[in-house]
Amino acid sequence: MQSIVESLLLILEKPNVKKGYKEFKNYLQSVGKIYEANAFALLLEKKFDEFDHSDIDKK
Amino acid sequence: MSLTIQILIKNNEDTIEKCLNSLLPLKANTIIADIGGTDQTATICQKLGYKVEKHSLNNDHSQLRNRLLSQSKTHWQMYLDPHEFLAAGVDEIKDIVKSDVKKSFYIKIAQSTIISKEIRLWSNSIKFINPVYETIKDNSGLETKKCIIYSKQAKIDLSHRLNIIDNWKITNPVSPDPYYYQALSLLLAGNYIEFSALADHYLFREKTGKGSVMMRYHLAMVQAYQLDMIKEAIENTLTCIAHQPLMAEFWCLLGDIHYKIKQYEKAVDFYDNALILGAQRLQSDMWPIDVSKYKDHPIKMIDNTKKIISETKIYHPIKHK
Repeated sequence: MQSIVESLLLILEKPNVKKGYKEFKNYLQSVGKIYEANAFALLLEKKFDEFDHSDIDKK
Repeated sequence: MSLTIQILIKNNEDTIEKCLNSLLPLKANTIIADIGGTDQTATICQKLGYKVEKHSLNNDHSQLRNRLLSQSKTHWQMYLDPHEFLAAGVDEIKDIVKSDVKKSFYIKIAQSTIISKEIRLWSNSIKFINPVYETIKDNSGLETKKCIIYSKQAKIDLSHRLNIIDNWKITNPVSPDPYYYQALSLLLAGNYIEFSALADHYLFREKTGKGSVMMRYHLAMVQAYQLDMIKEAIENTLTCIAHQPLMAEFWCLLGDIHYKIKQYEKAVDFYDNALILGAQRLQSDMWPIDVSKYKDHPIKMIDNTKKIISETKIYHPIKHK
Protein backbone atom coordinates (compact mmCIF):
# COMPACT_ATOMS: atom_id res chain seq x y z
CA MET A 1 0.00 0.00 0.00
CA GLN A 2 2.89 2.33 0.70
CA SER A 3 3.96 2.34 -2.95
CA ILE A 4 0.60 3.66 -4.17
CA VAL A 5 0.65 6.35 -1.49
CA GLU A 6 4.13 7.38 -2.57
CA SER A 7 3.02 7.50 -6.19
CA LEU A 8 -0.18 9.36 -5.25
CA LEU A 9 1.97 11.88 -3.44
CA LEU A 10 4.14 12.30 -6.53
CA ILE A 11 1.07 12.54 -8.74
CA LEU A 12 -0.38 15.33 -6.62
CA GLU A 13 2.88 17.21 -6.66
CA LYS A 14 3.05 17.03 -10.45
CA PRO A 15 1.58 19.88 -12.46
CA ASN A 16 -0.25 17.39 -14.69
CA VAL A 17 -3.03 16.38 -12.29
CA LYS A 18 -5.05 14.79 -15.08
CA LYS A 19 -2.28 12.27 -15.73
CA GLY A 20 -2.15 11.55 -12.02
CA TYR A 21 -5.86 10.81 -11.75
CA LYS A 22 -5.63 8.58 -14.80
CA GLU A 23 -2.79 6.63 -13.21
CA PHE A 24 -4.78 6.29 -10.00
CA LYS A 25 -7.82 5.10 -11.97
CA ASN A 26 -5.62 2.44 -13.61
CA TYR A 27 -4.29 1.43 -10.20
CA LEU A 28 -7.83 1.00 -8.84
CA GLN A 29 -8.71 -1.09 -11.85
CA SER A 30 -5.63 -3.26 -11.43
CA VAL A 31 -6.51 -4.07 -7.83
CA GLY A 32 -10.08 -4.97 -8.79
CA LYS A 33 -11.78 -1.88 -7.44
CA ILE A 34 -13.86 -1.52 -10.60
CA TYR A 35 -16.65 0.50 -9.02
CA GLU A 36 -14.13 3.05 -7.72
CA ALA A 37 -12.23 3.03 -11.04
CA ASN A 38 -15.51 3.87 -12.81
CA ALA A 39 -16.02 6.76 -10.39
CA PHE A 40 -12.55 8.06 -11.29
CA ALA A 41 -13.37 7.69 -14.98
CA LEU A 42 -16.40 9.89 -14.33
CA LEU A 43 -14.17 12.36 -12.48
CA LEU A 44 -11.82 12.52 -15.48
CA GLU A 45 -14.81 13.06 -17.73
CA LYS A 46 -16.26 15.87 -15.61
CA LYS A 47 -13.00 17.65 -14.89
CA PHE A 48 -11.04 17.19 -18.08
CA ASP A 49 -13.56 16.18 -20.76
CA GLU A 50 -11.79 12.83 -20.73
CA PHE A 51 -14.06 10.16 -22.18
CA ASP A 52 -11.61 7.31 -22.54
CA HIS A 53 -12.79 4.76 -20.00
CA SER A 54 -13.95 2.07 -22.38
CA ASP A 55 -11.32 -0.23 -20.86
CA ILE A 56 -13.33 -0.29 -17.61
CA ASP A 57 -16.74 -0.70 -19.22
CA LYS A 58 -15.58 -3.83 -21.03
CA LYS A 59 -14.97 -5.59 -17.69
CA MET B 1 -44.44 -7.67 24.19
CA SER B 2 -41.57 -9.31 22.33
CA LEU B 3 -38.89 -6.62 22.67
CA THR B 4 -36.65 -5.71 25.60
CA ILE B 5 -34.66 -2.48 25.57
CA GLN B 6 -31.77 -2.05 27.98
CA ILE B 7 -30.37 1.29 29.08
CA LEU B 8 -27.43 1.91 31.42
CA ILE B 9 -27.78 5.21 33.28
CA LYS B 10 -25.26 7.32 35.17
CA ASN B 11 -25.81 11.05 35.61
CA ASN B 12 -27.97 11.61 32.54
CA GLU B 13 -30.70 13.78 34.04
CA ASP B 14 -30.63 16.21 31.07
CA THR B 15 -31.34 13.59 28.41
CA ILE B 16 -33.04 10.56 29.96
CA GLU B 17 -36.65 11.78 29.67
CA LYS B 18 -36.34 12.39 25.93
CA CYS B 19 -34.69 9.00 25.52
CA LEU B 20 -37.47 7.13 27.33
CA ASN B 21 -40.30 9.10 25.71
CA SER B 22 -38.94 8.26 22.26
CA LEU B 23 -39.26 4.55 23.08
CA LEU B 24 -42.82 4.69 24.43
CA PRO B 25 -44.55 3.90 21.08
CA LEU B 26 -42.62 0.62 20.90
CA LYS B 27 -44.43 -0.61 24.03
CA ALA B 28 -41.33 -2.63 24.92
CA ASN B 29 -40.12 -4.08 28.17
CA THR B 30 -37.43 -1.67 29.43
CA ILE B 31 -34.57 -2.61 31.75
CA ILE B 32 -32.90 0.43 33.28
CA ALA B 33 -29.66 -0.24 35.14
CA ASP B 34 -28.20 2.50 37.33
CA ILE B 35 -24.41 2.08 37.37
CA GLY B 36 -23.59 4.57 40.07
CA GLY B 37 -25.18 7.90 39.24
CA THR B 38 -25.38 10.70 41.78
CA ASP B 39 -27.89 13.03 40.10
CA GLN B 40 -31.67 12.87 39.52
CA THR B 41 -31.62 10.42 36.57
CA ALA B 42 -32.98 7.43 38.51
CA THR B 43 -35.67 9.59 40.15
CA ILE B 44 -36.81 10.90 36.74
CA CYS B 45 -37.08 7.31 35.45
CA GLN B 46 -39.11 6.27 38.49
CA LYS B 47 -41.43 9.30 38.13
CA LEU B 48 -42.07 8.23 34.54
CA GLY B 49 -43.11 4.81 35.83
CA TYR B 50 -39.96 2.77 35.20
CA LYS B 51 -38.29 0.41 37.61
CA VAL B 52 -34.59 1.18 38.12
CA GLU B 53 -32.16 -1.57 39.12
CA LYS B 54 -28.84 -0.78 40.78
CA HIS B 55 -25.87 -2.61 39.30
CA SER B 56 -22.14 -2.48 39.79
CA LEU B 57 -20.03 -2.27 36.68
CA ASN B 58 -16.94 -4.23 37.78
CA ASN B 59 -14.91 -2.50 35.05
CA ASP B 60 -16.74 -4.30 32.27
CA HIS B 61 -19.73 -2.79 30.45
CA SER B 62 -20.24 -5.84 28.23
CA GLN B 63 -20.35 -8.21 31.18
CA LEU B 64 -23.13 -6.17 32.77
CA ARG B 65 -25.03 -5.79 29.50
CA ASN B 66 -24.81 -9.54 28.86
CA ARG B 67 -26.14 -10.14 32.38
CA LEU B 68 -29.11 -7.91 31.51
CA LEU B 69 -29.57 -9.86 28.26
CA SER B 70 -29.85 -13.07 30.25
CA GLN B 71 -32.63 -11.43 32.32
CA SER B 72 -34.63 -10.65 29.19
CA LYS B 73 -37.62 -12.88 28.48
CA THR B 74 -38.31 -11.58 24.98
CA HIS B 75 -37.23 -12.76 21.51
CA TRP B 76 -35.93 -9.34 20.38
CA GLN B 77 -33.32 -7.19 22.12
CA MET B 78 -32.40 -3.55 21.67
CA TYR B 79 -30.21 -1.06 23.51
CA LEU B 80 -29.95 2.69 23.66
CA ASP B 81 -27.65 4.97 25.58
CA PRO B 82 -29.30 7.56 27.83
CA HIS B 83 -27.94 10.45 25.76
CA GLU B 84 -29.68 9.06 22.65
CA PHE B 85 -33.26 8.99 21.42
CA LEU B 86 -35.11 7.14 18.69
CA ALA B 87 -35.89 9.82 16.12
CA ALA B 88 -37.49 7.72 13.39
CA GLY B 89 -38.44 4.18 12.49
CA VAL B 90 -40.94 3.11 15.18
CA ASP B 91 -43.20 1.36 12.65
CA GLU B 92 -40.27 -0.40 11.02
CA ILE B 93 -39.06 -1.72 14.38
CA LYS B 94 -42.61 -2.85 15.24
CA ASP B 95 -42.81 -4.75 11.93
CA ILE B 96 -39.43 -6.41 12.50
CA VAL B 97 -40.31 -7.39 16.04
CA LYS B 98 -43.51 -9.10 14.85
CA SER B 99 -41.40 -11.71 13.06
CA ASP B 100 -39.64 -14.46 14.97
CA VAL B 101 -36.60 -14.84 12.70
CA LYS B 102 -33.08 -14.90 14.14
CA LYS B 103 -31.47 -11.80 12.70
CA SER B 104 -29.75 -8.60 13.69
CA PHE B 105 -30.29 -5.11 12.31
CA TYR B 106 -28.12 -2.05 11.88
CA ILE B 107 -29.65 1.28 12.88
CA LYS B 108 -28.24 4.64 11.77
CA ILE B 109 -26.76 6.66 14.63
CA ALA B 110 -26.63 10.39 13.93
CA GLN B 111 -24.32 12.61 15.95
CA SER B 112 -23.94 16.17 14.71
CA THR B 113 -23.26 15.75 10.96
CA ILE B 114 -21.84 12.22 11.28
CA ILE B 115 -23.94 9.14 10.63
CA SER B 116 -22.65 5.71 11.55
CA LYS B 117 -24.37 2.33 11.64
CA GLU B 118 -24.49 -0.02 14.62
CA ILE B 119 -26.36 -3.19 15.40
CA ARG B 120 -28.97 -2.11 17.92
CA LEU B 121 -31.80 -4.58 17.30
CA TRP B 122 -31.27 -8.35 17.29
CA SER B 123 -32.97 -11.64 17.99
CA ASN B 124 -30.10 -14.11 17.77
CA SER B 125 -27.95 -15.13 20.67
CA ILE B 126 -25.19 -12.57 20.01
CA LYS B 127 -23.55 -11.08 23.09
CA PHE B 128 -21.86 -7.76 23.73
CA ILE B 129 -18.11 -7.52 23.27
CA ASN B 130 -15.49 -5.05 24.64
CA PRO B 131 -15.36 -4.02 28.30
CA VAL B 132 -15.75 -0.38 27.22
CA TYR B 133 -17.31 1.01 24.00
CA GLU B 134 -19.34 -2.18 24.17
CA THR B 135 -20.90 -3.29 20.93
CA ILE B 136 -22.79 -6.05 19.14
CA LYS B 137 -20.97 -7.52 16.16
CA ASP B 138 -22.61 -9.53 13.41
CA ASN B 139 -21.24 -9.46 9.87
CA SER B 140 -24.53 -10.80 8.52
CA GLY B 141 -26.59 -7.97 10.04
CA LEU B 142 -29.28 -6.36 7.87
CA GLU B 143 -29.93 -2.66 7.47
CA THR B 144 -33.06 -0.94 8.68
CA LYS B 145 -34.39 1.56 6.15
CA LYS B 146 -36.01 4.30 8.23
CA CYS B 147 -34.64 3.95 11.76
CA ILE B 148 -32.49 6.77 13.10
CA ILE B 149 -31.14 7.19 16.62
CA TYR B 150 -29.94 10.70 17.46
CA SER B 151 -27.03 10.90 19.87
CA LYS B 152 -25.81 13.86 21.88
CA GLN B 153 -22.11 13.99 22.70
CA ALA B 154 -21.78 12.06 25.96
CA LYS B 155 -19.75 13.39 28.88
CA ILE B 156 -16.50 11.46 29.02
CA ASP B 157 -15.18 10.05 32.27
CA LEU B 158 -11.67 9.68 30.84
CA SER B 159 -9.93 8.21 33.89
CA HIS B 160 -12.71 5.61 34.30
CA ARG B 161 -12.43 4.57 30.64
CA LEU B 162 -8.63 4.44 30.69
CA ASN B 163 -8.73 2.37 33.86
CA ILE B 164 -10.96 -0.23 32.18
CA ILE B 165 -8.76 -0.20 29.07
CA ASP B 166 -5.61 -0.80 31.16
CA ASN B 167 -7.23 -3.91 32.63
CA TRP B 168 -8.32 -4.96 29.14
CA LYS B 169 -4.72 -4.80 27.91
CA ILE B 170 -3.64 -7.11 30.73
CA THR B 171 -6.37 -9.67 30.08
CA ASN B 172 -6.01 -9.48 26.29
CA PRO B 173 -2.35 -8.61 25.55
CA VAL B 174 -2.35 -9.63 21.88
CA SER B 175 -5.38 -7.64 20.71
CA PRO B 176 -4.87 -4.17 19.17
CA ASP B 177 -8.46 -3.22 20.14
CA PRO B 178 -7.65 -1.72 23.57
CA TYR B 179 -5.12 0.58 21.91
CA TYR B 180 -7.74 1.67 19.38
CA TYR B 181 -10.23 2.62 22.08
CA GLN B 182 -7.57 4.16 24.30
CA ALA B 183 -6.50 6.39 21.40
CA LEU B 184 -10.11 7.35 20.66
CA SER B 185 -10.70 8.22 24.33
CA LEU B 186 -7.64 10.48 24.33
CA LEU B 187 -8.80 12.13 21.11
CA LEU B 188 -12.27 12.80 22.53
CA ALA B 189 -10.66 14.28 25.64
CA GLY B 190 -8.45 16.55 23.50
CA ASN B 191 -5.12 14.99 24.54
CA TYR B 192 -3.66 15.31 21.04
CA ILE B 193 0.02 14.54 21.70
CA GLU B 194 -0.79 11.34 23.60
CA PHE B 195 -3.39 10.44 20.98
CA SER B 196 -0.87 10.88 18.19
CA ALA B 197 1.70 8.59 19.84
CA LEU B 198 -0.88 5.92 20.59
CA ALA B 199 -2.43 6.12 17.10
CA ASP B 200 1.04 5.52 15.61
CA HIS B 201 1.45 2.52 17.89
CA TYR B 202 -1.96 1.15 16.90
CA LEU B 203 -1.25 1.65 13.19
CA PHE B 204 2.07 -0.17 13.58
CA ARG B 205 0.15 -3.17 14.97
CA GLU B 206 -2.93 -2.94 12.74
CA LYS B 207 -2.03 -2.13 9.16
CA THR B 208 -5.25 -2.86 7.28
CA GLY B 209 -8.98 -2.84 7.87
CA LYS B 210 -11.61 -0.24 8.63
CA GLY B 211 -10.24 0.50 12.10
CA SER B 212 -6.80 1.36 10.77
CA VAL B 213 -8.19 3.62 8.00
CA MET B 214 -10.41 5.55 10.43
CA MET B 215 -7.58 5.84 12.96
CA ARG B 216 -5.29 7.16 10.23
CA TYR B 217 -7.94 9.71 9.22
CA HIS B 218 -8.25 10.94 12.82
CA LEU B 219 -4.47 11.05 13.09
CA ALA B 220 -4.20 13.06 9.86
CA MET B 221 -6.75 15.56 11.20
CA VAL B 222 -4.84 15.97 14.44
CA GLN B 223 -1.54 16.32 12.58
CA ALA B 224 -3.03 18.94 10.24
CA TYR B 225 -5.10 21.04 12.67
CA GLN B 226 -3.38 20.56 16.03
CA LEU B 227 0.25 19.56 15.54
CA ASP B 228 1.19 21.36 12.33
CA MET B 229 2.68 18.17 10.87
CA ILE B 230 1.57 18.90 7.31
CA LYS B 231 3.71 16.39 5.40
CA GLU B 232 2.64 13.54 7.68
CA ALA B 233 -0.99 14.65 7.50
CA ILE B 234 -0.95 14.61 3.69
CA GLU B 235 0.68 11.16 3.59
CA ASN B 236 -1.84 9.72 6.01
CA THR B 237 -4.77 11.25 4.12
CA LEU B 238 -3.48 9.79 0.86
CA THR B 239 -3.24 6.36 2.48
CA CYS B 240 -6.90 6.72 3.45
CA ILE B 241 -7.77 7.73 -0.12
CA ALA B 242 -5.89 4.73 -1.49
CA HIS B 243 -8.17 2.51 0.63
CA GLN B 244 -11.46 4.35 0.19
CA PRO B 245 -11.19 6.79 -2.72
CA LEU B 246 -14.89 7.68 -2.74
CA MET B 247 -15.03 9.05 0.80
CA ALA B 248 -15.52 12.81 0.50
CA GLU B 249 -14.24 13.19 4.08
CA PHE B 250 -10.72 12.31 2.93
CA TRP B 251 -10.75 14.64 -0.09
CA CYS B 252 -12.10 17.48 2.06
CA LEU B 253 -9.28 16.95 4.55
CA LEU B 254 -6.77 17.06 1.70
CA GLY B 255 -8.46 20.27 0.54
CA ASP B 256 -8.38 21.73 4.06
CA ILE B 257 -4.68 20.94 4.43
CA HIS B 258 -3.82 22.62 1.11
CA TYR B 259 -6.05 25.57 2.02
CA LYS B 260 -4.11 25.87 5.27
CA ILE B 261 -0.76 25.93 3.48
CA LYS B 262 -2.21 28.40 0.96
CA GLN B 263 -2.02 26.09 -2.05
CA TYR B 264 -5.45 27.29 -3.08
CA GLU B 265 -5.70 25.86 -6.58
CA LYS B 266 -4.92 22.36 -5.34
CA ALA B 267 -7.40 22.87 -2.51
CA VAL B 268 -10.19 23.68 -4.99
CA ASP B 269 -9.23 20.62 -7.00
CA PHE B 270 -9.59 18.36 -3.94
CA TYR B 271 -12.88 19.91 -2.77
CA ASP B 272 -14.12 19.36 -6.29
CA ASN B 273 -13.17 15.68 -5.99
CA ALA B 274 -15.11 15.48 -2.73
CA LEU B 275 -18.22 16.55 -4.63
CA ILE B 276 -17.70 14.40 -7.72
CA LEU B 277 -16.39 11.22 -6.08
CA GLY B 278 -18.47 11.55 -2.91
CA ALA B 279 -21.62 11.51 -5.03
CA GLN B 280 -20.54 8.09 -6.34
CA ARG B 281 -20.13 6.53 -2.92
CA LEU B 282 -22.44 3.63 -2.13
CA GLN B 283 -24.72 4.67 0.71
CA SER B 284 -25.10 1.04 1.72
CA ASP B 285 -21.49 0.66 2.83
CA MET B 286 -20.73 0.29 6.51
CA TRP B 287 -18.33 3.23 6.83
CA PRO B 288 -19.38 6.27 8.85
CA ILE B 289 -20.43 9.25 6.78
CA ASP B 290 -19.95 12.93 7.61
CA VAL B 291 -22.78 14.37 5.53
CA SER B 292 -21.39 17.93 5.68
CA LYS B 293 -18.33 16.80 3.69
CA TYR B 294 -20.43 15.65 0.72
CA LYS B 295 -21.95 19.05 -0.08
CA ASP B 296 -21.95 21.98 2.35
CA HIS B 297 -18.27 22.03 3.35
CA PRO B 298 -16.68 21.58 -0.11
CA ILE B 299 -19.13 24.05 -1.74
CA LYS B 300 -18.44 26.68 0.95
CA MET B 301 -14.69 26.11 0.73
CA ILE B 302 -14.59 26.20 -3.08
CA ASP B 303 -16.40 29.52 -2.89
CA ASN B 304 -14.02 30.95 -0.26
CA THR B 305 -10.94 29.65 -2.02
CA LYS B 306 -11.96 30.96 -5.44
CA LYS B 307 -12.51 34.40 -3.90
CA ILE B 308 -9.00 34.30 -2.43
CA ILE B 309 -7.54 33.20 -5.79
CA SER B 310 -9.33 35.97 -7.69
CA GLU B 311 -8.32 38.62 -5.12
CA THR B 312 -4.70 37.46 -5.37
CA LYS B 313 -4.89 37.75 -9.15
CA ILE B 314 -6.33 41.29 -8.93
CA TYR B 315 -3.75 42.58 -6.49
CA HIS B 316 -0.71 40.67 -7.79
CA PRO B 317 -1.23 40.39 -11.55
CA ILE B 318 2.48 40.08 -12.34
CA LYS B 319 2.74 36.77 -10.47
CA HIS B 320 0.31 35.14 -12.84
CA LYS B 321 1.77 36.29 -16.13
